[in-house]
Amino acid sequence: MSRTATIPRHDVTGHRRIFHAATSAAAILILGWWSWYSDPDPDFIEVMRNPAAYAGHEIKIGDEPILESVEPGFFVVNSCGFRLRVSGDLSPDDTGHFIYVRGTFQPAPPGTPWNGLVESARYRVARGRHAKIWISVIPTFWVGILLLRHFRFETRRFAIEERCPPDPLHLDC
Amino acid sequence: MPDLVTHLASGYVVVLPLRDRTALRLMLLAGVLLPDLLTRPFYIIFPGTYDFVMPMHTPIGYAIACWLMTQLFSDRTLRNTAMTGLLTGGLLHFAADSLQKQLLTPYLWLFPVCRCEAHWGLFWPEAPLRAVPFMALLIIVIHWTQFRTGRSRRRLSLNC
Repeated sequence: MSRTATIPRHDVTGHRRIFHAATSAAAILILGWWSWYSDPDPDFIEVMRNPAAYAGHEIKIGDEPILESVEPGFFVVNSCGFRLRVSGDLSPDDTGHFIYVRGTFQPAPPGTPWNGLVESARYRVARGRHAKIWISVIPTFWVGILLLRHFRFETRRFAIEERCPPDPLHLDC
Repeated sequence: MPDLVTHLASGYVVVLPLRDRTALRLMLLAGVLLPDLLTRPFYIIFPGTYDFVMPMHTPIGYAIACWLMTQLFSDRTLRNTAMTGLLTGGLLHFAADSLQKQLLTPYLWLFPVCRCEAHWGLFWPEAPLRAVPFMALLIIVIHWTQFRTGRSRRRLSLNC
């Protein structure tokens, strides 16, 4: 057996791990900021805070909006607590489903129960999105259980290790 | 995104030839789910955070997130295995996502280099739900056969 086979394979100091973790965490934060900063579409919350400034702008309502009600010729969408009247025809059966809307924004006239109007809208009712979200919980737990069965967290080294390494003698070093 | 059952089924098909490499297999299965798990819960629970978490659903941002997570493995070999599995799974996830249509939230595959979007537009994101029973059956069959094979191999090695 070669001498190298007896050397533990783990990074003993961990300094390099800390450095890599810190730099990658910083990189993720910078990417998040850049994503927000470089987005060409107006932020929906910003539009709602200052509706007059965005009159005539095309906006996207995609922050998990719900179709609140359907009336002849228009429907009402609720996103982040803001209610928007969108011109278009939908079936009342679609009420309660997620809906995605893209269209031209206009501030709502005073005295109306809406926070804004959306015209010339393209929209799509995401029927089944609720089911998709809840169904997706099952594989998450399933893979989580598989991972917990195979790996364990070693608190002393602050590291994840295999519960039963495939080669306990490290002959494959 | 297709639902995570469909994503997981695609992962199970890919890990079929990796019977002897449990760590790689599990990391690949985790990687198939991770791009959505790193982003969706945040902006479903906190609408308005989409822009901030979106980079982790792009190949470059996801690779950096994987690099961060794999720093939890002190064993260098295991860390490389985890990185390989997570990246391969993530690529499989992005490949499946690129097949679907998008109205609002395009997939920016080259972010942060550019915000150009691309997708095949074959089906709407909710369409694979119809195939969930079949996908679940596929997962059960593959997992059961692999588990059986693994157990019988362990028994054989103990006898040696």
